[in-house]
This record gives sequence, C-alpha cells and structure tokens, in this order.
Amino acid sequence: MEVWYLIILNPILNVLIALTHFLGGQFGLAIIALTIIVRLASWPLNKRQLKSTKAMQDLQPKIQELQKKYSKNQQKLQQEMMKLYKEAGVNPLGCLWPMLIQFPIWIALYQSIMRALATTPENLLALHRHLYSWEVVRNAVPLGSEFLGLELGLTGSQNGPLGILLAIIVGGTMWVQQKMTQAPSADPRQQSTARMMTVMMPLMFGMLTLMFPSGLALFWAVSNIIGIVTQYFVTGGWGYLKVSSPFQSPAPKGK
Amino acid sequence: MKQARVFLLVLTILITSVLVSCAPGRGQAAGGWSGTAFHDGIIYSGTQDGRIVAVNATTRDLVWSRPMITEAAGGLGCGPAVVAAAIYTTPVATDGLVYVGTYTAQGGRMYALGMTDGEIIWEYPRGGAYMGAIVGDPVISDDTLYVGSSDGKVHALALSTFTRRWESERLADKLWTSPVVVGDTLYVTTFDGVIYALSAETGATLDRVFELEAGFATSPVVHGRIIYAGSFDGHLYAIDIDSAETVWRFPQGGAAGGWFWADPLVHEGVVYAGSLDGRLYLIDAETGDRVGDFDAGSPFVSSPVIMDDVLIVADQSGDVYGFELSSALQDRAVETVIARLGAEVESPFCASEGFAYIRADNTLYVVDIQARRIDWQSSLNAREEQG
Repeated sequence: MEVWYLIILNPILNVLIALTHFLGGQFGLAIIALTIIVRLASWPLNKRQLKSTKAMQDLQPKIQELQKKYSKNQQKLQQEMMKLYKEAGVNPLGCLWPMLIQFPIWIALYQSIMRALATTPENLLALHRHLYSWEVVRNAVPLGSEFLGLELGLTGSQNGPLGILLAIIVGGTMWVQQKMTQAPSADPRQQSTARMMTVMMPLMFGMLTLMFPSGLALFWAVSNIIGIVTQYFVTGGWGYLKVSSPFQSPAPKGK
Repeated sequence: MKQARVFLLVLTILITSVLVSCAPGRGQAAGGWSGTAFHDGIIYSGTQDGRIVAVNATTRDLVWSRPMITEAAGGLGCGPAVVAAAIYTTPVATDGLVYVGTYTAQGGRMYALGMTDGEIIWEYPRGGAYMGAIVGDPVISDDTLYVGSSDGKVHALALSTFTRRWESERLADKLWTSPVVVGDTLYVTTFDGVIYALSAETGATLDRVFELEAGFATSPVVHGRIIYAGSFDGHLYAIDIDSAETVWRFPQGGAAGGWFWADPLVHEGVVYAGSLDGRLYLIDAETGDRVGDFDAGSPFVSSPVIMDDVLIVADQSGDVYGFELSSALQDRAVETVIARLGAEVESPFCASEGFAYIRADNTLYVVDIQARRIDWQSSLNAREEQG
C-alpha cells in the first residue's frame, strides 16, 4: 500500500493541489485540468482503443452479410465472425485492455480528489501525511470546494437541483459515449445484454453521482465529454449512436 | 455468448473496483475529536459514537451519557432513521450547564445539557433546523456564546434567553477554528489566511486584521496585544493587533516540517507550539527566537497545557510528556515520558489537581503527573463503559 501512495497517489494528489493554486484556488478547474492531463498522458492507449472501435465499425458491412447468410446457424455465424476478426487483425475485446491498464490511474484520481477535498476534519488532518513540501501546495490547503454553485465535497443529492443536473450530465454523457462504441450484435441475447448495459451503466453512475461527492462526478462528466470528443474526431463521427438496429440500418460511414 | 459473458465479467470487475477503491479513497468518516473538560470533580467529554459523557473523577463512575442523535441521513433515503452526530467540540461546563456543538452531514447545532443529568435544556437552531456543522470550540464571554461553523459564519447566542444574538457575514468557506474575545472585539482566523476582527456586540466586521497567502490552521491565541496563530505553511505567526504587522514568523527561514495544527500556548514570555513534524518548539514570545525544542518523533495534534509549573504535552502516538518549566527540553525524552497510552491522541485535554484527563481513541485516560503513570482508564464505548 505504501508503494501505491508513493508512486501513484501522492504525486497525483500534490499535482492536483498545485493546479488548484495556479488556477486561482478553483478546485473544480484543477479537476478538469488534471482530467485533461491524464487523458493526454494516456492518449496512446486511448488511440489504440479508438482505432479498434473504428476497425470494428469498418467491418460492419461484412458482419451484416454474415448475419444474413448464417441467420439460422448461430454457431457457424460466430465461427465466421471470429475468422473475419482474425483476418482483419481485430480483437473484439481488444478495446477493453487499454481500459484495464488505465484503471489504476482512474482509481488514483478518484482517491486523490477525495483526499484533497478533505470533507471531514479527520481527512484534513490526515492530508498532511501525503503532501510534499512544495510552497504552492502548502499555500493552497485547505482547498475551497465551491465550483459553479456546487459544493464539490457534498454529494449530488445534497447539492440539490444542481446535483441532480450533474447526475443527468454524467449519465447522459456516459450513455452517448457507450452508444458511440457499442457494436450491434446478431445474437439477440447479446444484443439484449448490450442494450441493458448501455442503460444500466449511465443509470448507475447517475445514481453514484447523487451518492458521492460532486468533485468525483465532475471528474466523471469531464472524462466522458473528453471521451466523446476524441472518439468523434478519431473515428470520424458519431459511430453507432445513429444506428438503432444492425438489421435495419446501414453501418456508420462516419462524418 | 462467450464474448458477452467475458464482457459482463470484466465490466463487473471494473464497477466493483471503482466502488471498492472509492471507499477507502473517501478517507475517514467524521468521528469527532472532542477533548476533555474538568469541572467540580466531573470529567466531561464527547465520544466517538456521538455521546457526551460525564464521569466522576473520584469514583470513576459514569454519571450520565447523552447520545447526540440527529434526524435521518440525506442521500437516497436509504440511511438509518437517526444517526449519531460527531462531536469535535470540547464541552464547556459552566453555571450548571454543559455546552457542546455537533457535526453532521446535514449541519450542526449547539446544545446546552444539564450538568447533573445530561438532559437537553436547549438547542440552537430549534425546530429541526441546522446551522453549519460545528468543529471549533465554543467560547463564552459574559452572557454570550460565540461559535464558528461550517457555514463560514460566527454565531453569537444569548445564554439568558437561548436565542440568537447575531450571526456574522460569511467570513470563509468554513470556520473550523474558535474565535477569541478580547474586550469588545472578537478575533477569528480562517482557512483563507485572514484574521478578522468583529464587534462582539453586533457581529459587524470591524477590520481584516491580517492577511496571509496560506491558511491559518489554529485558532488565534491572544496575549497582550499580540495574536499568535499557526499556519498550513509550516510557520507560526505573531501579529500585532494594533498595527496589523507581523511581529515575527517562526521559523524565520524555511518552514517547519509540518503544519502548526494545535493551538499554541503562551506562558511567561514563552510560546509553546507543537507541530505536525513531531517537534515541540519553545519560542521567545517577544522576539520569535527559538528558546528550545523537543523532538517526540510523532506529530503534536493536541495543544500543551500547564499545571503546577509542569508543561504537559501528548503526541499523536499516545506518549505523554511532562517538563519542568525551568528545564531545557532538549534530550530529555526518556526522563520526561510520564505515560505511554498506546492510543492516538488527537483531542485537546485538560489537567487539574495533579491529573491530566486525556481522551485517546475512545478511552478516557487519567494520568497522575507526579507519580508518572496512568492512574486509571475507562472505555468510552457504549457497550463497555458500564463495566
């Protein structure tokens, strides 16, 4: 656990606090800036993930042909699809690995935000153990937690209407991002599962926004928006967002 | 189907990881660090499960215990119907009443409890309302109780009528320090690094006495016409009230290795200030020169106290030290350890009639200063306290 603090958590925490100092004491701006920095730092991984998504999109016409051809033989369809993926050098689960690799960074970000907010007196006292002796860090603590009318240390539900609006933004942006990457499936069960996840995940994060401090929700919202924007430009359009069913609509052609 | 299962599995792991990782990341819940007060042979303190207790110092019996409960938690309504408040304030026992402030997610309230039975005599605000959550100790002067709160305001309550006398303008994001009353003026330090002077009569802001780039971590301590206050920048400041000038800053060069978190103590021309760097500093109150220091190796979270010419300090690890005021502090750690509590000391404590009364974790320790030992101890956990 000490290694985790030393190598990941403490550097992110101190950078976050230093950013707050440089951004006029606005912790909300520091969260946004750090989210952008982390997104930039993980760009090579994100790019790979997006390219994998794009490749899957490009294969859609061929997949639809296969779906029509083997509509009554699911086993054969699966075999042919896997063959197609292999020939195209695409791993349908490949987009998950970059996400997994980035996960420790996201966890550290979550924890840094929570620690920096020092929502209780005990947390403020505990914060001193994690701070570097940088002057900018010393001068920035304790951080003010107000941003755009939100108290970043309070939960979404405690933030009233603004907190509910934030929950809608988090859920909405997550839904859009998921819809952009969610490839349609020939298997009705798979399709049903995918649809369920597309609804469940945004709902869940919307609920979490109401239960967790709004500083975290701000991070989720900004991260989702950056994800949507980069995905739009890298894959050249809204991806699968426009496609309601693989059997009714053509594969997305891009912008 | 296999692909979907793998996807769902990975997704479940991710979501679980987020939830699990966020839990420790949220840090410690509000537990409270109420200190001890001693009055007429009774020790008063708040407990970590949100009760105020009165313990007879002679018989060691629990006289009374009052849970400071509050209404249903917010959020999605899935919390308990009532929750215990956290108690950060050290009870103030005077004139038959015990005054204490509470801290909850919804806000805070000031209570006056009967000294003999712990019954709630009054609360402020009333009717289920809250003021900001209370962390800093209340201060009583004449017929008025002054307390800072998490709404960033100082609240003044008339003790004769149990009503609000005034509330100040919002001075900061939150006020977790205690005000100090000097004559007809109230001085308040803020996390924004400002010392305000308020009218004790009306609450009007008279002046911004002093401004610092870093925030103040301690309450102001006034001695003569000088305000002493510790900062998050690792310095202790002495500020002239009249000229609003810095008299001195300690250390004069680089910062100390930690925040000056505990309120300093000024006694006979010497400032005793514990730091989170584990050192207790003795500073000439007039010049700011270092008179001496003592390295305990563990942060000083609670303030020192003086009793019978003995300086008593407790570090966070639970070691209690006593120094003859005439002695130099250096290299006297072994000689000066009075007791090792073996529990974290983060609460203010008091000393009276030869004993120090210290709440460490959730246990009350009574330390015999002359005999240099723990005289007795009593768990403040609800289930154990009767035993």
